[in-house]
Amino acid sequence: MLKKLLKYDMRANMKVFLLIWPALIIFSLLGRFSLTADLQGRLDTIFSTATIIVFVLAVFAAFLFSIVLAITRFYSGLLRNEGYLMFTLPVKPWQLIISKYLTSLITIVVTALLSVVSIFILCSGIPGFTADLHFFTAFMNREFHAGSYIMLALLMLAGVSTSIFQIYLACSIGQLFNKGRILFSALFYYLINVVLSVASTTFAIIFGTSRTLQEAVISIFEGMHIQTATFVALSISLLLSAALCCVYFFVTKYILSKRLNLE
Amino acid sequence: MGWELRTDRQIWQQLAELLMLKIVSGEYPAGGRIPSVRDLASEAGVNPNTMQRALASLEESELVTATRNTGRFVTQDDAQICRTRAKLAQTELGLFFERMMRLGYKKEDVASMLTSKEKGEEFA
Amino acid sequence: MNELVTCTALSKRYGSLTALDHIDLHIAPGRIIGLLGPNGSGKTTLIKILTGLLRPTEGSATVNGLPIGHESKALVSYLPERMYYANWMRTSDMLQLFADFYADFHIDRAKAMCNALGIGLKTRVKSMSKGTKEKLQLILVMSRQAKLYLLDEPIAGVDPAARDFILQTILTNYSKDSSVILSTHLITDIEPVLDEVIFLGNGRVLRHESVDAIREAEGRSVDAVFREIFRTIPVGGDWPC
Repeated sequence: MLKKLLKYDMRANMKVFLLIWPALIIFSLLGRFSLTADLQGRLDTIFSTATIIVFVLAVFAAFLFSIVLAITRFYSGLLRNEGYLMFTLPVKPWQLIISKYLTSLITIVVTALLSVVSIFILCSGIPGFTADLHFFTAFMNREFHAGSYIMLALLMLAGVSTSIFQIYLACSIGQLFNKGRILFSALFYYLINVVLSVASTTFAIIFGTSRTLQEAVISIFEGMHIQTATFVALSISLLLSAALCCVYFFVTKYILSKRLNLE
Repeated sequence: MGWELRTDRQIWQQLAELLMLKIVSGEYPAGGRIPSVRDLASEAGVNPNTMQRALASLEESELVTATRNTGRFVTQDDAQICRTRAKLAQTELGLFFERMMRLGYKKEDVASMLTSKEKGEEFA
Repeated sequence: MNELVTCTALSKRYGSLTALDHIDLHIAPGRIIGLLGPNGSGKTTLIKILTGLLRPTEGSATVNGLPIGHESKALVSYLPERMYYANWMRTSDMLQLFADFYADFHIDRAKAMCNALGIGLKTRVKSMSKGTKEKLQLILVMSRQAKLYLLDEPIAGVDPAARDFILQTILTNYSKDSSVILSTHLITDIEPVLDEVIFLGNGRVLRHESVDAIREAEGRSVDAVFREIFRTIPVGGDWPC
């Protein structure tokens, strides 16, 4: 059933992104062309500046769309009129949530990857770009080992996931109200942020004043190679992110299973 | 023939009367097959269970016979159909006389009026 | 005969407002049932509980012996009183969606009904008129071979031709194994179609009887009985009578 849900959620997103993604690549190719093209004087500058501005706007728009769609596909797709269809399908609430989540995650990740690719395409038009790239990778390899790269990728995924689930949770709490649902959703999104920053500040204060805690942390990292230390630090953040994701997901699932309140 | 129904009388009784009329008038000929309950119900715009009940009452009076697999048929027995026709005619006549009495005529007047109406004469 | 719908002491409260107040209900298969009551009597709440869109505050409800959940949802065909289309979809997308999720959906029948009503398969739902959208939704709901059809106000605000279409569809779709519950506050139009009526008032079942029994006992139409039960006395002025 999850597969079938994904099919429809992906199709809804593709209606937009099958236009946006090719556009990204086309604009980057155009930008690269404008950088390498040998046009006359000022015309050259105007042409390349214009294409690069368009490219930057396209990347920005792609990200904006992927985030806006993540919100609206959940809010309009489950909590407004479409919810009357989705919540009467013979599927479980967690499948509905996960389908929306995976669709948004895939859309955001593909957008990010394509943005990176298109930036490379664009930059490959700049003289000396290959040399810079070598310098950068050499620097990264000093701090990271292969595991850390995977960990970094996972951490990015976890970060995106946490943001998506935080939006879902805020919307689910917002729909409990009979009036001003969108306003309450936004308010709760903000409130969750406040709670998180209060928690992390509190932790920082405790950590800053507690010798024993500091020594405990130092003892963990003591004698570690820089690469291993990076790996451990990344693992800890990943765990925290994943835990937060789970909390958001299960509270959202609870609300949508037991406290659904469609308009 | 339409299916005009009133909601203040039992609908199945009205349906039974309309079905009888259809049989007597030959719309459903003797020995002929009667449409299925579902088709009749949707034609009349009524609940299938109500139509079922109307047909059951016709079966009870042996105007309609039901077989297990092939559906319902109008009886082959012409005498039975004649009896039904006579019964319906009796009811109609009764109602007609009742209304004429209310208009102030006597039974004898009504009889002579019917004869002159038949001849196409005006009556005074 | 096994029961299709069973509600036991079913209650739903929204804060201090009681929408359903300890309802007991038993519905057999093969029935067409009118759920009648004025606005705010709890009709929609009861239907939403049976579809699984709402959780009861107290008591229990089952459909075909199953507690309300994804298994019962596979047996229930629900027509809400609003449009539930996603704005990117075309007719064919909706048909495919129903075919994908409901094993009992007859896509050929749905296509035939769309053709008969002149609804193009490639037409965007967004561009359809309100009436056409309603018809498409009804086609989707009635093209399933479900156990229980829950139609929330299907005839409110539709033109007479559409109303006849709805009633005809219900009648041609009739099956001994399934029941149809349709809620309405306009009973005259649908009276001949009904087996039973449930009168809801202030969240309680005031009457649940066969229409034949009501007509037999009262010697008048169910509509007349309905009007008497729910007669609201107009609030008069201050003058002496």
